[in-house]
Amino acid sequence: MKDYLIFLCRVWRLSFQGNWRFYAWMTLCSAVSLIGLNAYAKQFADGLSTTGLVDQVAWGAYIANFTFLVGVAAATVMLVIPAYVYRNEKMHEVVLFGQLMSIAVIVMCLLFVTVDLGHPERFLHMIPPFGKLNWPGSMLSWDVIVLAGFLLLNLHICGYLLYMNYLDRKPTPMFYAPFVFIAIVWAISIHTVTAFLYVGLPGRPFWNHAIVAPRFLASAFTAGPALLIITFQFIRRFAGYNIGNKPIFLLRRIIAISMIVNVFLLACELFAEFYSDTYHVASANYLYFGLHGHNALVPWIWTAVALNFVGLILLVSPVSRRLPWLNAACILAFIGIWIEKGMGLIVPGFVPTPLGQVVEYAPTWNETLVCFGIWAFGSLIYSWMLRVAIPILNGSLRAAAPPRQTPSHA
Amino acid sequence: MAACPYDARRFNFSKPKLTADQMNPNQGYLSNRVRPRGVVEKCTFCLHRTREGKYPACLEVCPVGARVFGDILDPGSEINYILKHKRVYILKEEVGTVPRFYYFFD
Repeated sequence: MKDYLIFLCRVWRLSFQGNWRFYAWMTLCSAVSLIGLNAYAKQFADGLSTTGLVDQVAWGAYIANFTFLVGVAAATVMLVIPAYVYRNEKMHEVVLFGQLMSIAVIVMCLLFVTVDLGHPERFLHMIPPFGKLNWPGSMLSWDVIVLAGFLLLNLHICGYLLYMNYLDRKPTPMFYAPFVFIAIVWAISIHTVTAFLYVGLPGRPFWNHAIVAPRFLASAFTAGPALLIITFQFIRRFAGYNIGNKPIFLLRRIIAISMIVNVFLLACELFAEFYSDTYHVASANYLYFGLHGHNALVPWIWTAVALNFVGLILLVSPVSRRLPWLNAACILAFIGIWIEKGMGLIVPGFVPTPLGQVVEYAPTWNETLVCFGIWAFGSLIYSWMLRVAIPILNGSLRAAAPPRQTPSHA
Repeated sequence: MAACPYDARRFNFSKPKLTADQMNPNQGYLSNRVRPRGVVEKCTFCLHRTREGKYPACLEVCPVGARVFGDILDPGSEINYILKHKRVYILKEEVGTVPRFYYFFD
């Protein structure tokens, strides 16, 4: 136990040390997080009227970002599966960075849900013994369970492996391997359950498709690894951890395939909507062409279509075997999916309303600041975890005396 | 909010701003109580009035008497006469939410 406390102290001290780049980056992230916190304080005092949400469009930028980020968290299995199932050595060296990312991203997801609550303190009404968890009837209760469970699984896996590395001991497979395999299934489940939040609303025909969950997974498995490809290059450039090109190009193959599946599923959905042309197509019409002169989302969705399409072409063509092109493709695909799966999925579900009103939604400045704040906070905690994990992984942070004689404890 | 197929629910986005003279002192806990910000509410058929044998307020103020309210379990009520003898339809009957709200032609 004493060793563990010393470990925590050293990690805590280490997380405040770094070169000027580290300080500049962390200061920037902290500043933007605090601006976001200030914006949230305004919302907390004045109510959700500080957002662009109205009765007719009850979910907006917060839920859009939440949906997208659950996908990014789930997509880290695209590192875990090659590393643990196919025992790819190169992937094994970087898999922890992916698992740490899913921790940071899940925290962001939980924050995005919290800021969307009218009465945040009533969150306790879901937690026994303060209230009742309406399980299994409510999809939201499933979502709480799978998100919290995924967070705990990853915290355990990363914490255990890092601590064993620090002690210079070989991790006992029994203590982490079963959890890794549970986490693989669990990752698929978090995004499926999130999709079911929408699919389970038969009053909203735009979401009431069986294909939503598979589409979510396909787009997540593109956007998540795309972010990892960019992150790996930052890590090897600025954080002094040597990541070869092999994991990056294995991820390229993964996202090329999931991008093809993603665009194919999108085309399937568009066919089902527009060819049958029932009155359920109104939402899709609003999204892609505008409805009765209301077309706030039209430029956005066509930008997303263009980004996705160019990203797809870059990813499947040999030109993305060179890193600059691969990075361009990743950024295009990431932004394209963020638009299409965020605002492009959430807002049209509410337009037109069940009674036929067309009310448009646009996030307010305050709402946007809250979103920026949460993204900055996520980057902050991810950078923080990397700052600690990298010295442990490359061996520069180790327990001073080899504690092999001391009995096991932690 | 998102799940309601009738757009019947309303969310209190900001703090209620009722002055004292606008406030109805006759409030029922389950019906027209002024609710705080951050919660969802919907029409209660004026429970505080109907429990005293009065009509819901929207019936009383309707200038043409287009609305009918009554006890559907009472075979002799006016609402039962209408359901039996007029052309009645239910909004989105096919989704199976069994609303107790009917439209009729006269």
